Amino acid sequence: MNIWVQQIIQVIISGIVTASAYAIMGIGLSVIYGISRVFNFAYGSFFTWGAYFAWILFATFSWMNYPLVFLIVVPAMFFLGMGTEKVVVRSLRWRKNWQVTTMMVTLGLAFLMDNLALVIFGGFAKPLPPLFHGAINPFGFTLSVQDLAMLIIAVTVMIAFGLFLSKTRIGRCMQAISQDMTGAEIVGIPIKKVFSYTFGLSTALVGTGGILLAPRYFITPHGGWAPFFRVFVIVAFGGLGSIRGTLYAAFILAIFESFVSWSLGATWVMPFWFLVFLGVLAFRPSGLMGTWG
Amino acid sequence: MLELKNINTYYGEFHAIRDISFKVNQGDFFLVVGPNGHGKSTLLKTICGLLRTASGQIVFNTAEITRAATDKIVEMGLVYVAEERHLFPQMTVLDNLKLGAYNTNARAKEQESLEYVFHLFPQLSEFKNRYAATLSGGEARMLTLGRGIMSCAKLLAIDEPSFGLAPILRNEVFDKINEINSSGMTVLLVEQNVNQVVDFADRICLIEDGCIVFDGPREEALLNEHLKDVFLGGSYR
Repeated sequence: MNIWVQQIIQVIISGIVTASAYAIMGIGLSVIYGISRVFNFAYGSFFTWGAYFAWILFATFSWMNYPLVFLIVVPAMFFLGMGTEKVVVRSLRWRKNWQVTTMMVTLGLAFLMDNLALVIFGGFAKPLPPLFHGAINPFGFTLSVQDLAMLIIAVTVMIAFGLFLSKTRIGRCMQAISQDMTGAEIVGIPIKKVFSYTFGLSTALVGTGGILLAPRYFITPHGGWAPFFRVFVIVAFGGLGSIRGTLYAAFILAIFESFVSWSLGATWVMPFWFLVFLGVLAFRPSGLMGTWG
Repeated sequence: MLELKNINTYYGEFHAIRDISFKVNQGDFFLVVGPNGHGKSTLLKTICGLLRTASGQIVFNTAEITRAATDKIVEMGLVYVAEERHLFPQMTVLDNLKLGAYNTNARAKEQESLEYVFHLFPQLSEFKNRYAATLSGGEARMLTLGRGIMSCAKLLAIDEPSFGLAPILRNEVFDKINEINSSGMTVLLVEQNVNQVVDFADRICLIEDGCIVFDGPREEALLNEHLKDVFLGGSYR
């Protein structure tokens, strides 16, 4: 096979793998806006903390393994998110300019969480052990088992989330709220409770993303901002609040990112995201499937 | 069944409801009339917990609901049917109805209520797999009423069901509401198209500038000079 074609396919594969992690994080950021109308600036910090929790488990117990880490950290993140909603967001909701206020408050929370991490864990980067070792070579392409596992886990999470939304009672309530909040209130859905669940779920999703990406990159106190910024652009590109839009955007942009990094070099990755963001704001502020506003 | 005592509600700075008191009895068809923007819808939203009263007391079936959350009020059987409909556009008619039966009392009777709604509105059972967004104005109105019934309502607080409908459809909607009332449901109806609905009402209350101007049985209302102007004036806008 032509070496160029092979390289390009390799780039696409690597894009798809990162896209899957971005996608679950994007869905988390998107639903929290679509359902509870809150934009969570501490999202990146929850990402970091998810990874730190995993690191603590690995550092404390030598026999720790990933299934157990997910089993412990993901529910913990869920409750942390629910608690954050109750303590930080709930008291501000429906007040004057509350959407801007909550953005500012979550931004403050982000600084608090980041610096808390800096105090506790120090500035040195922490590694997580690889999810899996080794690589496979289907059709002459190289794919590390870790990437494959990441892809499978992320896709499973997405499918599970889709089923959760369409099949469970609470999932249907979430859909109802995102389609018409007053309508949901009128039929007797306890919307405040659903807001908490949504926040918890979103935090659990970003925590999962944190654990999935940490073995590839290192964990640092401010390391959540780069993925958060990417996810922010993805969500803006796809249309805030639209899950399908977020999915499309994650795959389109992650594959582009992977091309940029391959052809122009990694230094151009962040400018690329900024350019996309500017482009979205200039030409289609509501996003692909926009529900912004 | 429902009693309001000296209710005051503000929309921001605007004093929309001024010291309103009335009583709706079990099985009544209670009609609230009045010009646009004079507080009728605000009144219903206050009763259903979507807006907070500044002062006063609301009692429903011996329980005080003045500051209760909407979901608790719905669970007790006081269900609001909004003028703006507030359907779930990306869900099917059937899913909209099923969400109506969200509260625990309603969940147990979901199948029974569904049969009643389809019996009342045969069109809805034909359309049950269509998305709510694709319904016409009249069909959507039927769906909002159906969804309200699904909540196991004891009292339906219906806001301006004729809004945006052609006169012939209005009559159909009013007939349906009358049918619902005749089956034993208490109805609190806010409406501007007075003359199309006045025959069904047991009791009529006129609200102007957020105050009650008249409150009495229909026979008495028909003799009242001020209300006569209202009825003869047609839709009273």
